Amino acid sequence: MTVNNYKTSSTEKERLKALLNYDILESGPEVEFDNITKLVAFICDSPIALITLLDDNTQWIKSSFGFKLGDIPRKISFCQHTISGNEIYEILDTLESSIFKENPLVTNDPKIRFYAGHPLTTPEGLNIGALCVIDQIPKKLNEDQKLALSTLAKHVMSILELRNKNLILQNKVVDLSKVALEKMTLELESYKMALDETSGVIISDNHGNIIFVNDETCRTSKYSREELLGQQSTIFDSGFHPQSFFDDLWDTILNGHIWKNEIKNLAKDGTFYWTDTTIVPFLDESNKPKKFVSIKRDITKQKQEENRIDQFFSLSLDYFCVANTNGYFEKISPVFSSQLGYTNEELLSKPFFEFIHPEDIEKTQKEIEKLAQGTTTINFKIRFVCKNGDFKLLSWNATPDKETGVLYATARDITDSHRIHDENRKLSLVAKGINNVVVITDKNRNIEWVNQAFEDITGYTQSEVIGKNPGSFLQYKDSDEDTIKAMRQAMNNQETFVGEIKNISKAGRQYWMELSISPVFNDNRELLNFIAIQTDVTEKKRKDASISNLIETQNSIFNGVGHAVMFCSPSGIIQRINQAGLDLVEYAEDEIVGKMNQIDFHDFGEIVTRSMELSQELGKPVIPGYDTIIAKTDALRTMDGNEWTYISKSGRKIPVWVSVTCIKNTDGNILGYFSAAEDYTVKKQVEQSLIEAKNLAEQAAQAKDSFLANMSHEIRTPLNAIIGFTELLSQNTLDPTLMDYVNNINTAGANLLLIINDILDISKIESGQLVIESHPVNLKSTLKHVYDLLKVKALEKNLEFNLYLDADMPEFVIGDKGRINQILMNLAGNSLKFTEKGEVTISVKKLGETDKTVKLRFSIKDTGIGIPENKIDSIFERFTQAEVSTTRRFGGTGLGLNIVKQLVELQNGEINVTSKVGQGSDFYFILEFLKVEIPKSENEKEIIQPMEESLGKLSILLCEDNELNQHLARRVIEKFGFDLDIAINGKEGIERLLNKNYDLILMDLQMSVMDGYQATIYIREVLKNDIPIIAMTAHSLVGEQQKCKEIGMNAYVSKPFKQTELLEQIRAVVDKKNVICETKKVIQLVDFEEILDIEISTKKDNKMENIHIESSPNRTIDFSYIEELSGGDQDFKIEIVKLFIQSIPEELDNLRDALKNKDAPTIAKLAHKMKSSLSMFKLDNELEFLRETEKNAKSLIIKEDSIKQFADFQLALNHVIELLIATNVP
Amino acid sequence: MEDVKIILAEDNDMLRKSLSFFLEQKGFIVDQFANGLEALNSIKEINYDLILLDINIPGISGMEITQFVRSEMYLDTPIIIFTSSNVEQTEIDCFDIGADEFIAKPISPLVLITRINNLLNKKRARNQFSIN
Repeated sequence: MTVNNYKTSSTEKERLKALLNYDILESGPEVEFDNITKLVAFICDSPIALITLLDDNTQWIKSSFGFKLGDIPRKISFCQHTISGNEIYEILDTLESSIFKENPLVTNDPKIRFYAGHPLTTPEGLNIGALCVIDQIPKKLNEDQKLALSTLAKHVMSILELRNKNLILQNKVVDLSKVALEKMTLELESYKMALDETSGVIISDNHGNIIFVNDETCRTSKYSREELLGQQSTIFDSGFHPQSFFDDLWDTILNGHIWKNEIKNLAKDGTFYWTDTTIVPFLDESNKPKKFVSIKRDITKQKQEENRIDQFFSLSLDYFCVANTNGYFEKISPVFSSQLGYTNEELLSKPFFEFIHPEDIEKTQKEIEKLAQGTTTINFKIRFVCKNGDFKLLSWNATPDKETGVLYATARDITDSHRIHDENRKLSLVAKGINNVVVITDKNRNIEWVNQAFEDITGYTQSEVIGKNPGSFLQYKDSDEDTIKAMRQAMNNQETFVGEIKNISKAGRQYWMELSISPVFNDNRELLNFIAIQTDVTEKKRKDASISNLIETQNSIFNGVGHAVMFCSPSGIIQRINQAGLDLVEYAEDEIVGKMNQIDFHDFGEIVTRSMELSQELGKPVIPGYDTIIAKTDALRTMDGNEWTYISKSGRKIPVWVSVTCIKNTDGNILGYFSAAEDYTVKKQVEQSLIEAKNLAEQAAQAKDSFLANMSHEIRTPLNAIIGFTELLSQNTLDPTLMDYVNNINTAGANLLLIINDILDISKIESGQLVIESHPVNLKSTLKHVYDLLKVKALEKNLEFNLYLDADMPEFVIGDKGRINQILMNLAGNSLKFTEKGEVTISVKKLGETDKTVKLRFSIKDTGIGIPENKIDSIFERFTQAEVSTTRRFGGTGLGLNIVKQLVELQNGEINVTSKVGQGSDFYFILEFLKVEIPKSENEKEIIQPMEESLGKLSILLCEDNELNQHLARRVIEKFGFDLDIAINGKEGIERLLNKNYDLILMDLQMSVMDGYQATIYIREVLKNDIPIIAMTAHSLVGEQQKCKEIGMNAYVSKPFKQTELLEQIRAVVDKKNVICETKKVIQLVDFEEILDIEISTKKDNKMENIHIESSPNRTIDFSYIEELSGGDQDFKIEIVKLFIQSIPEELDNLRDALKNKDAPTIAKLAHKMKSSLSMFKLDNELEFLRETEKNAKSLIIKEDSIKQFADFQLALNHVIELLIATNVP
Repeated sequence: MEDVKIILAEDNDMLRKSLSFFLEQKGFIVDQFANGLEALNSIKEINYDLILLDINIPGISGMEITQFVRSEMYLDTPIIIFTSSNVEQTEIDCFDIGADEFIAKPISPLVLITRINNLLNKKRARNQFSIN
């Protein structure tokens, strides 16, 4: 193996470069590495350890342990071999090695026998040196030692690496700070330049020696830099400032503070210059100033300006001063001392008020206050007191400095001029102050002076008019010649002129002046001036004109108006009244004005009534009197209109409409009241006649109703008999022919009744009370019935009469049989009536059907006279027939078709007609019916059942005055198996009732002596008898049934009655009565009287205390249902009551919770369950709540107010529970 | 008169007890239940002469019991259903599934006893006819 082959290594160059990069070859020993060599020697149990670095010629020993030699040439080094490999290079015995046995380090000291080294490898894989151990005896490293050696070699490398990185970072930081420094320097340079441009800079040391000056300093001081450096800064001292000035300067800067002031400096050439100087001390570490930087700005020019002002100040002969807000002069011009006689010091040391004349101090203070608000003072004249006691009158102009409040003021001495013009001044002050125009002319009538008012009115300024003749520019061209002449005349005669003249202003405004021109003479009666004093009377003239106009207008209105107009004092005394007023009340004016009160014309009774109304309306007492008339206008501050009655002098009562208004002056004081009364007599009459007409109309309507009622009664009464008896007859066994007759009579009677009802229908239709009923109807039999009835007529007239029914039409529908019958009878009857030959056909055709409904077209077609085309539109109108002559030929009321139309329309149908004169008509209508299953019992004959046991043998009283009806009723009632007594009127009925106990009364309404209403009222109110009463009436007018109910009747049967209907009603009222009786029994059983007592006493208490609050409703509990169930068993009843008391509170709680939680399913369930419980006691109101709640909950509706309603519900139930407990049920 | 056994299924305690009392007073023997399932179980065990069912009884509804009795047990025992809806459809449904009568709540005792007697009479007549 050759020794020096490394130079040929391809990586040697890079290796060297890397080594140099670490920059460690010459950095000397370092503890970090020494620790490693110590450690590796210890671990490898060797006396010597080294960290070596190898450049191209030398092995540098970076750190060594136990090795005395320094750096050695590379060519003899062991490590040069180590770095050519990548692992530990170990020589167990150098003497055994051909490479090393001749090596000087082996042959001489340190006589190396053993070597082991690991290369130091850079991250790039270049070996720059080695960590090695050396011994002087041969040996071998074990594996642990080898591992330690290689690990520590890597550690050495990582230290180097870290350092290298730090180094790079350091360099970077240095670079960056260098850049920043350069930037800053540049910036400072620019500041310095800027400073040099504008300011002088001088730097001196702590002894005051100048060590730096800039160009500007040289320029302003006119010294060269060389001349200044090393000099004291006193070189600039101008001697202007006192020593104290500089003491202060040094004091400030030596204490480390910045000093700033204006300094007057001396330049080299002996001239002065002013600088605004700032001196900044620079402090050393011990906070002592080590140098001072002065920055001086040249302000010489400004200073010169100031000096000029100063000079102006001191040279002026005028009074100039600056005064401060404390009331002292700050600066005064010399005139103050020279003219007033004080020294400057005296003037500056005292408040300036002390120099002002005592009488003028107050106004001066005011003026200064104004100045403080920023107003400028002009020509403010006050007297100053001189030292010798004289006064100087000074006229001041002053301005405040807005920021500082300092006053700048100038004054002129006007003492002399003032004295001269004192009198004039006074005059002119007067002239100035007054609103009148004052003009002073010389004796040639040219203007010398005018006042402000003149300027204001004419628009000319004083300077414009001085020297001019006033007339030349002021006089209106169309002025009254006579006035001008008179004026000239007076002036020529040097006399005073007074008059009015029209002038014209600069702007062309015309105005009227009242003027007085007086000549002014001197003591020698020589004419000096004319003084004209003028007043603008334009407004006055205009007002005069308009006032006279107004008064005239008002007077004419006042007197001309038709209303009685009065003006009264606040207490009502009449001040003025117009002609119409006098005419109305029939008094003469002098009887009234100032003497009578408006109230004297009033009907006092009316005043009293109105007072009471007003007291209530206005909420305060209104005392009857004049107050009554004005109360409302006073209260509402508007005009009040009311109807009154005036009483005239002759006692005539006059209805009037009086409007009253309060008249106030501009201050709001009431001057009086203005009232205008309109004669209402005619209006009243009209009103009265309207009321009468209305009453008449109402009476007429009443008469019509009553006519209809009576007529229906008159016809129904016999009809009742016919139908009734026929019905009785039909219940007998008759031979077929007779039965047929009876049936025909029955049918005809029934139809007649229908017709009467039809007439009554008009009244019902008119009042909107006609109701279409919905029952199963056998349509076919209805049609057949109509056909059968009319067939007789057709036969008589020898007409063909047909009935065609659609095979598909349903037999039964839901409808109103009576109304369908009525329509068909009417139309078919008409057709038969108006047809002389040919045929009449009734046909029904099914137009269509749905699941639920069927649509049918009914047609009644004839070959009759027909309807002219122009009448067809109005044929359904009331009282219309095709021709007037028709009525004569065929009769009829003209109501029929109208009723038919309305009936069809009430059933949501439509009726039409097609017709041709002479050929016939076809009336057809379409109705839609609900479908229905065939009711089983429809065709069965109504069979009167023998009386059910439950009713027993009732004892009945009939009040009826018609013998026929008495007879009929007796037969029917007795057939029912009841006893019947008959009274022929109400009076007799009551007598019978008093003598015998009846179960029931059948009460006819229309009877002589005492009718059914009167009798019922008597029975209920006087006898206090609650016997069931059934009304029987042939009236079937709207509202009658209601009336019966209201007066206390229990049921209502209209005549002619059907037996079944009557029986039903009897059963209904008797059942109810029984139930009530049983209930009463129960109440007695459970000792209910106690509750009743309590309730009665509660009522009494309420009355006594006059409490208006409704206490919980007085209610009793209906035990009838429980009674019915229990059959009177007391124990059972108690058990049920107990159950109720126990279960309800919990159920209430549950329901409330569910409501709160809006839990619809639970609400529905609970409400449903409670229903049954509440039904036991027939708590209908409470049940209603439950029903509603359940229904809503099922549709998932929970109303917001249901909680509130629940509260009421709960309250009611709690009350029921209280009552139940109070029944003494254990 | 032979013993007539009636089963009553109604969940409102007061009503159930009241009706039971009422019917017992009239001489019937009444088994009462507040739950539909229990009622139906009892029907399966005991041969009742008449069945009274609340339409809304918890457990199994009155309609369901009716249906079961008719179509599963093939019994023609008269059944009266208590309804409270006042809705025609419900009542028609009652008939459809084989109830003999319905009575809307609140139940009139008179109506109830009449209907019961009617149904029992019809049943007797029918039995007689079939015997004959």
